[in-house]
Amino acid sequence: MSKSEVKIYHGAIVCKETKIRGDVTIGSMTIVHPCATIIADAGPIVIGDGNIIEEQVVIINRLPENSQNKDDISTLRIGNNNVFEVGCIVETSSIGDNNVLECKSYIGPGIKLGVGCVIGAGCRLTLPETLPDNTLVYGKNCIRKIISDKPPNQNLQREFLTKVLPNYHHLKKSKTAIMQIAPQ
Amino acid sequence: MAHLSQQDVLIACSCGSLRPLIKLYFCRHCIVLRCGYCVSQEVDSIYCSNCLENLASSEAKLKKNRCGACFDCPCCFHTLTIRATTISRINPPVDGSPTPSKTSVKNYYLSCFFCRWTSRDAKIPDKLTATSSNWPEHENTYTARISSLIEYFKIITLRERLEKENRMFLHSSRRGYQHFSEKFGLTAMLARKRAGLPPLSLGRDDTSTLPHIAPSIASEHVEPLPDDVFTEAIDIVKLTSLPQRFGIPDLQPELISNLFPIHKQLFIKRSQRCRSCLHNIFKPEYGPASIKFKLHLAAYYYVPEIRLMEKIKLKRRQYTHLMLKISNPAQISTQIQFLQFEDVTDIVQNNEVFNFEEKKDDSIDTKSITNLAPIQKKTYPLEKSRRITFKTNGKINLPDVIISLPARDDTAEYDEANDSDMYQDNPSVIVWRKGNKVIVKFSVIPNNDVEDNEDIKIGFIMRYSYHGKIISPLEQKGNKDIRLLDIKIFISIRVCISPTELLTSGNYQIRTYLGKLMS
Ligand SMILES: [Zn+2]
Ligand SMILES: [Zn+2]
Ligand SMILES: [Zn+2]
Ligand SMILES: [Zn+2]
Repeated sequence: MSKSEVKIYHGAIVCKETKIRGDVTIGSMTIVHPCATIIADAGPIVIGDGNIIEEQVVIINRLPENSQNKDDISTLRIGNNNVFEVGCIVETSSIGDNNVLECKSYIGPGIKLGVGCVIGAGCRLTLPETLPDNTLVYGKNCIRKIISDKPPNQNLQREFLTKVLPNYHHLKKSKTAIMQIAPQ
Repeated sequence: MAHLSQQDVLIACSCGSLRPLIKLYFCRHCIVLRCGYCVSQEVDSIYCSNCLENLASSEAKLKKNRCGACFDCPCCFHTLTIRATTISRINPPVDGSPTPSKTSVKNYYLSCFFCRWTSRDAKIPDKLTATSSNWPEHENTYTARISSLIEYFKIITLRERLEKENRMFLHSSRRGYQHFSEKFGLTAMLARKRAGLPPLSLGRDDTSTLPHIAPSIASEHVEPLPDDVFTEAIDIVKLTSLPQRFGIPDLQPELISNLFPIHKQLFIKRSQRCRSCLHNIFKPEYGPASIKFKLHLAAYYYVPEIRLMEKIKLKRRQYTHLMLKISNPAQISTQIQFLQFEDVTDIVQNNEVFNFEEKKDDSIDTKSITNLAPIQKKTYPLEKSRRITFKTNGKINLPDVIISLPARDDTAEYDEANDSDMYQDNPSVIVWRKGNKVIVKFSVIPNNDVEDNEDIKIGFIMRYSYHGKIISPLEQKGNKDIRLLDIKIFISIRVCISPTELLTSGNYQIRTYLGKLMS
């Protein structure tokens, strides 16, 4: 893997221990914890601004199992201000803004999240579909409903992590040279 | 924790029901096992599990056993929390100041962190204070009807009780009445009655006249279904489930949007009392926040624990080794012996020497109990012991040894020294020993008539020496109070495999192959 493929925008906090492979772009103010894994095998992964990616999270853009066609490139796009809580696994191709993926949740390939969705702790979504905005999936039976309440604002948490993480971890250097407009 | 709730090893309670060790109590005074069926359960205190407020039983009854301040989510039944939002409001320009001023107001609403239901979904207006009271209540349309019925039946109970009392009063001499006052709240009335005074005329309590209640009338009129019921597609996301509807029995809403916060149900702390000797055997501390016990006579502090060591595969018409780990939980060493059911029957009676007369006044709380005893003896019917319904379909060979187990010593866990030399163990019986634990080798054979894949059930008696706890210093007369207790143990072993199946299984082939290599 050539090392120049990881693009980190100004203000993002990405720890050196984080496992990142392939063509990954991380937007500004996004925080990636040291034990997260981001793997872009099948195509690039573009992560927007202000996301929090916690420990043991796996974001993976993997080739579909039955397709041998290596040219079949698809981009995994993640919007802004999403929270990926500890241990969640993302294999989908598109996530919008302001979503919360609670601990140990799983989003399989082909499930598209819109805006303001909450995937409850331990919920597994495996069949391809597009979730309507503000969908909540909760409980062991993955019951769904539409919520009126917005997920709580993560600004304070993000500020705290921005201060604390550099004290205890070496960071991946952000490529200040590429001061372009953030992707999306 | 998984091993604690294991159902493989069951123990017969003195009443005959089979329970795992952790579900049993041990009455120190009767020196028998007790289970949840054969103890009397008493309510110690009533409290709210969320705000930990302690309520008197009368107050709890008044509030219908629900907390006034805490709510449960009507959607998923988790506890609702109060959440704050800041809303900035632009005030209209006041005379004198040219620009409109901005003020931010904190608003509070109830929210469920699990399913994100909020009181805004129920269209309950936000509150300006964070205090947990004064949330709007929905009015039950049948309140008047229900209360009139309750009133009616209260008077009927009162009347019947008085009649019964009168009858009993003639036969029995003076008896305490505390227990009735606690139970039915009839203090003043019954006190007067007992003292032989004429009842106070309280108008309402005039039991000769019953209030008039209107009987409910059956109606044939049923609301017709709405026209769109067959044409409109059902949106399941918006409909409530049955548990949600029954959570609010007076509303039973059909739509999620009509759900209403439920007052949190109160919890109780229970204490358990032995029904034959009336001693407490299990008593939690009174405060709702405390998780400690004043008295905690669980069987796993007194009875040696037996655990299955490994899953074994049984063969037909062949003995298979069964390893059982036995540990002594008591603070005093014990001796264990194993017996078949056939051996015991008559020996038990000879060995058990009950000396109740001596032990009568040795406990601290006996006094308070003896006061209440004459009444309470009436209220605790003793459980009739039932037959043990456990059909064994295998036979276990028991080693003819007496195993001595030292007392439990928590520091021994960290002690590397091997103390197995201290005991003259037969290595073909006792495979391993450390501290208060041993592994004993048994052998098991299934009966000839068992089906394939049927669990093999075996049973035997564990006889162990129990050293009666020294309760008062006066009783320290050495090791006088040793008695042998017989505990009936029932073990189920999963899945019996026939010899033909075993030959084909890979595991067996590898083992025989290895066996050939070794020889
Ligand atoms: Zn029992
Ligand atoms: Zn409460
Ligand atoms: Zn809820
Ligand atoms: Zn007892």
